[in-house]
Amino acid sequence: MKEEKLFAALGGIDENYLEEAARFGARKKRSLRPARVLIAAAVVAALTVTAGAVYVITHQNTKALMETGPNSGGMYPVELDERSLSVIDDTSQDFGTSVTDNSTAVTLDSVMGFQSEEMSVVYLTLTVAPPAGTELTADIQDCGFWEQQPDFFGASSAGGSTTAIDNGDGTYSVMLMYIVMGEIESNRMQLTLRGFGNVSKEVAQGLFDGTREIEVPGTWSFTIEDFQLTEPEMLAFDAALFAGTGIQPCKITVSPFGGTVTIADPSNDVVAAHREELKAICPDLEIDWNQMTAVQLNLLLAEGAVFTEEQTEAICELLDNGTGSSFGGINSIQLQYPDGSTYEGQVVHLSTDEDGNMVVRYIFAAPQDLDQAEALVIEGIQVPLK
Amino acid sequence: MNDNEIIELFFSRSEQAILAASGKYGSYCGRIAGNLLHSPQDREECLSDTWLTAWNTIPPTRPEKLGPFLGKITRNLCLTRLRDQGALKRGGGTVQVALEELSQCIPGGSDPQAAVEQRELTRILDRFLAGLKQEARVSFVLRYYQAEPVAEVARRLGCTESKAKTMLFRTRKQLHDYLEQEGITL
Repeated sequence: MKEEKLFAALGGIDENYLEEAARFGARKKRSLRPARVLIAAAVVAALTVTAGAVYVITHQNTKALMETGPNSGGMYPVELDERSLSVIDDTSQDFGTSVTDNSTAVTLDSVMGFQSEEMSVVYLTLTVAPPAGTELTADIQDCGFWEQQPDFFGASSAGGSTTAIDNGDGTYSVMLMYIVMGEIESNRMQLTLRGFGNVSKEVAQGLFDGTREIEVPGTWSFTIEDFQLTEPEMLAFDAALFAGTGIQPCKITVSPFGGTVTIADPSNDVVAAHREELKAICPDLEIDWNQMTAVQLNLLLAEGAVFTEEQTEAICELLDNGTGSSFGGINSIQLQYPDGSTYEGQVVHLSTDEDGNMVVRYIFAAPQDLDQAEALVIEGIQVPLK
Repeated sequence: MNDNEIIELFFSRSEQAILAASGKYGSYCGRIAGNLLHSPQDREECLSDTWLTAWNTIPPTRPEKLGPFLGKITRNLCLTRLRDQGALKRGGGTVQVALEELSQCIPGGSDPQAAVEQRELTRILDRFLAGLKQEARVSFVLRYYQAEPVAEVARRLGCTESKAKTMLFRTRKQLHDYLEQEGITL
């Protein structure tokens, strides 16, 4: 049988791929969907510009907070002692043109986060000093907390998102954010650094990868502060989250325990109505209400169309980069009205639900008679709304 | 015990090598055997044969990556057993479905025009895998090398089954196109 021949030929593939698959599976076991992590990373980057210390809450976290309320097991902000990281092992891998980086120094500058039984969010800043002559790329891949399990492939960790800023002195400030389903149980984490440079002939050909297993001395004994975000504060951060996705041009200023969110482009009549509604909910929040538009985006965020698996595959077929987990690749989404007219919107989140259907979240900045729309058209595929 | 230490035990002909190898990689190899073979007894025998084959192979072979090396032995033993039983296409739900999915990757032409040596085909597969994004590559290897069920692939990727299915569907189509581009007919 032809497929048997192919199946048999797969038995001889490069062992690096087998090892990669085994390790990858372990790493991703507890990670969130990439899209959410990426969105969160964008927020981290945006917030860091203007705030020395920030707490980041995702939309989902915010909901959890609202639902659980104070002192009832919800999300609590936690702060961790500053510590130094030390390299305790080097488990570098060598794929293709990659070479091992043995000399990158990593120092932990600060770490803080939120923790609940369901989810933990940890935010770390590191200073990374790669070998002279190398340049760290903007993303550091494969970072994650992990714990060693009894069997080889049992290690687990959380996916991380990173932003690196060149300090100009040969070091980089690296911001990492982890969203972990459940509690973080480990005080060890693994970083794979990736960079470009000229430190060896191999590097000259391309990139280097260096994997570091590092340890935060002691245990993750979180200090839970007697502090709970208020609803307005949550909304402020929630707004920052959406604003951080680049959906609207925005300027964000956030202080750790309260917030000021200023978002440009106030020319939106539809959200103006919601603005008043929101203002009634959180009168104490320091928001420039006249400038506020995007905070209400969640009110306009349609939960979206639910596609069948067949439709999902059809849509993905149309996309170059879409994998069902992000909105990359979807360029066109429109509301279609009975008279044939259409209105352009923007996809902000594409995922699959528990039943395996694709769920598209989208925004129409100023929908015209949203209730009258009869169909959603994504990349030419028409999905009836009624 | 790290891999080098285990390999040294093999080289020194210490039976501790088998204990150490099975202790460290037993679950990994057992999973591959479990995916490919229906019968628990067959699985057990294949696993035992894995350690025996490793014992007979090391030395002289010195594996660079012990885990994948042992996994390959297990997989090959399982495939041999299925072929001997004439059961590769009905060896179990997972492998059967995986084979059916793989058949979609094979470019048209029901008559074999040019038989491609397995080694060459493997080289082409290596090149194809190298060009994939990591998640796609990992899902493909988990599904079609280890014959993992889609649910397990999804769990390992941290995504839903639907996403895993979609990713595999796209990768199979890419492989189909790649093989066609390489002029491969099987």
